[in-house]
Amino acid sequence: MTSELENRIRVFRAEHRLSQADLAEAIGVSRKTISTIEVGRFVPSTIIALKIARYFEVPVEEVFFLK
Amino acid sequence: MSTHSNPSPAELADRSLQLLVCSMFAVALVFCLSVAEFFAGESAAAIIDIAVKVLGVAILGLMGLLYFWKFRPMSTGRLRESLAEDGFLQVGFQKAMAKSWMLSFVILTVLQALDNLVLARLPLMPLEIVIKSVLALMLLLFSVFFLLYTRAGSIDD
Repeated sequence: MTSELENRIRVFRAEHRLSQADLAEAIGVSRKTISTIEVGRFVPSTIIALKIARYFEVPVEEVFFLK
Repeated sequence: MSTHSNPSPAELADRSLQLLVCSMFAVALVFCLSVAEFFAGESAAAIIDIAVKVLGVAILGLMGLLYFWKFRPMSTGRLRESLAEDGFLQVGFQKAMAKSWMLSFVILTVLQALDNLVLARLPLMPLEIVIKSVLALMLLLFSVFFLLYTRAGSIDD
């Protein structure tokens, strides 16, 4: 059984009025990494996922979830 | 919104990696040309020889630029951190490396198995040419896989 990882990064970014570049710089990754995570093309490492959740001050499962 | 006049360390790491892959592709071309030189006629071989030398100098220049411009100013800790990034391109690099190694292994095994059909029909090659052919195959496969893994598929804002 395969599960697809979905995310709400775009929603959180919009709420915080952040560009992909701003978020990327804040968590120490490149903009391409953020954009490919957002569209579901790249499954991030646990560390990157936790950094994104910590940045938005929400539990990681609010940002990432299985379809 | 903040302005980004200076690229972040993660962006620098991405660009360095892309430069590294370009260099690896160029090295693959040099090896391909060297092998072609062995099979080509004398006049074509002379032209290929010049092309190999020009490309070789260009690669050395590119690698030198990469080292002095990007890596040398970095501290050892920062360098280690950049190379150990788990971003999109870094993961693509690792996947491409693994897949190209596996496919090269399969191709070489099949060639070995079909010894009579393929290898026996080729002219006897010096060890240097055989090694260059294998390296060219591995580097070309790596470049193709890296391109496939990292081709544009993102939505930028």
